[in-house]
Amino acid sequence: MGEPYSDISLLTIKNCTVGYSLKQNKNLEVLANLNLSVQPGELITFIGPNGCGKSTLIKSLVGLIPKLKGELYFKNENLELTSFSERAERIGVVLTEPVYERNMTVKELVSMGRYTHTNWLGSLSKLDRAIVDESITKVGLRVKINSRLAELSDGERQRAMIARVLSQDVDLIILDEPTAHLDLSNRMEVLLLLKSLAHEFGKGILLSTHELGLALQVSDRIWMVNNQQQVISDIPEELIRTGWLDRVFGNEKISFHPWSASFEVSSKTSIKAFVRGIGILQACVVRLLKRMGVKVIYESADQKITIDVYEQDQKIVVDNGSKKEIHTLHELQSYITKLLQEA
Amino acid sequence: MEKQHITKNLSIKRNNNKTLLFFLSLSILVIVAFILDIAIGSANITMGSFIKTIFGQITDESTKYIIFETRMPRAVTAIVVGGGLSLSGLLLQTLFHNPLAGPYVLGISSGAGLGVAIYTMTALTFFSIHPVISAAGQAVAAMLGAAMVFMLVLVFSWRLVDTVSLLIIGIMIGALASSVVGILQFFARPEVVHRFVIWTLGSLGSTAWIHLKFIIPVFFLSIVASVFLLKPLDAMLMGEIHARITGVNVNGTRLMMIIISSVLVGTITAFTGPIGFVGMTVPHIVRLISGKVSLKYVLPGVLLIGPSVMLLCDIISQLPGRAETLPINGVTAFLGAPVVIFLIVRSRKLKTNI
Repeated sequence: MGEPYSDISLLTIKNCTVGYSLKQNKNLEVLANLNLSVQPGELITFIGPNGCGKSTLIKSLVGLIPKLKGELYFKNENLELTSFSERAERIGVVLTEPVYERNMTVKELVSMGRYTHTNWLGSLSKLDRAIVDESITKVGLRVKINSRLAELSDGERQRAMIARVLSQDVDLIILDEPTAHLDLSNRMEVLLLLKSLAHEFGKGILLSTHELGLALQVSDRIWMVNNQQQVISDIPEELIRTGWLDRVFGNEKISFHPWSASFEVSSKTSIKAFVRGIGILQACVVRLLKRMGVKVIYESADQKITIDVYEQDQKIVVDNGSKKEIHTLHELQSYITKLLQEA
Repeated sequence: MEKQHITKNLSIKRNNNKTLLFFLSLSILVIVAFILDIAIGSANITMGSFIKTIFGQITDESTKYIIFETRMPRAVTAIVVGGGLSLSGLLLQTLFHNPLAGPYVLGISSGAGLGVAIYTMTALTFFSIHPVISAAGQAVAAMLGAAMVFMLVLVFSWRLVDTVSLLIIGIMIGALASSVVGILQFFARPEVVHRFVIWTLGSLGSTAWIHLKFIIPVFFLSIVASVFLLKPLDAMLMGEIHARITGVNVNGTRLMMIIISSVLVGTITAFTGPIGFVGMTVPHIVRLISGKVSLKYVLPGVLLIGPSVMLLCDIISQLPGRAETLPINGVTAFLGAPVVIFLIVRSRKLKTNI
């Protein structure tokens, strides 16, 4: 668990405990003794099962709920002492809360990011306007600049919210579930945009998400809430290698497979199949077997079935005591179904 | 590239011109309505003699008196009431994030009424007070009553998210205030009760210049204070949490809005009685006409359309041509209720679409 410490940390969380204070001085601690940091140029995803306290930590970080213990620093400033407007000059935040006035235009919304920079009347200077325009262009909403929020799709609205944070012109951006309610291409687009902000513009980005697969693909580092209400911080591959992902997210029904870096349905049957061969057909055979609950193994052992896949000839040879040649995946599915019924 | 730049500049200019034209035509509307309101009335004054009187060419004392001491204060009151109630309605809608909020609906007018009731029925029952002090006392009592109800509604609003519950709370608080007033009436002297009942009917005609000397400065101070709040108010349109994270001092803004609305509604209501529908509907009319939501457009729009609407209501109330005018609350409700129904039907439609 390598937590990089340096003088240039954008955000430093020191011995923090977050949660809710109840009556009679009792506290409900959600996440305890956190020691974490966000470095410039780094995209961190914050993952954990539902209800593990992701939103609680994020709300504490941005000052919407008071933390119970510990200290928060932005660069070397104690965040405790800053007002909302001083925070807004340092940290940009995107929450899942919908915007109340849906008749606002994209431009009006994004201009709000300049709140702490404008005069008492909130009129935009030439520089402000340029920054607002640039932010909108960066998220690809140029053509929708005068559209009302109500007219946008979910993905566009999310990008408009990100544009608002961009126009805030801050070094650290914190986003709560920015990919929720988005379809796959929009999710990927949002994440790649955030990644480019981190890598090209040196911003520190922290986002919470449910999308484990996407998080593993784009993050420079992952904060993961484990079963002991702690947050583990490490690079994605280390979390895979050490088996943490399986321990936290896996259960008797699904388990995390380091080979495919994804979750798979745990095999319900005792049937094991040894699969040989390479190519797309082989990959499809493996998927099919796993889907049907057959445990796939990659080295010869006490398996019941051996399956050889020949990509060149597009044929599958199943050896289940006796050999059988199969030419389509449909046939393979019927064959396995029969096999499972027998077992 | 350059061409694009030029067309962009042109479009900004065109937009500015459009906005200017919009506000200019609204200003003309106010002026026309103001003049009409003064020109029309129960006393038979011809248009010719009206104009001559205005320019000081006629020195007929009774005509002068009717125009300068009766009709003019009445029209000025209409302007202040229309502008003030609409302004407070706009502030309340922004504060509560509720399109149906307004001083009357949320029970704030009733709170002012309760303040006035307590004041007139206790102080005036037991002491004889100089009329000027009595007027000021009435205003202060109304302000305190309004502020008290406001706080109460605000406390409940923190626990309620939906539009309808808040309105029901407002109505219930209004009912509570009326019941207290009813009990007070039971113990008060009949002439005081009579005076109070007349007050509750609402009237633009009972304010004289001496009262306006007090109301007008309050009105202008409220406008100035609201202008200073334009920036945070605009950000509040996003919702409270969004406002906070973009750097708005939400609590401070909220406190200022409470003070402005209470003082404004309290002062106006103290002298004219509770007047409904104007505060809630005018901001919507402005949003519908202008197509904008930013308070930088809506606030000046409200300050122009509010007075026009109120002057129009006053003109209508005088149409029968008798010494007694139609009750002003009847007229505002008659014009306002359809607008509210329209808004609710439209928002329901929106909800099912989502």
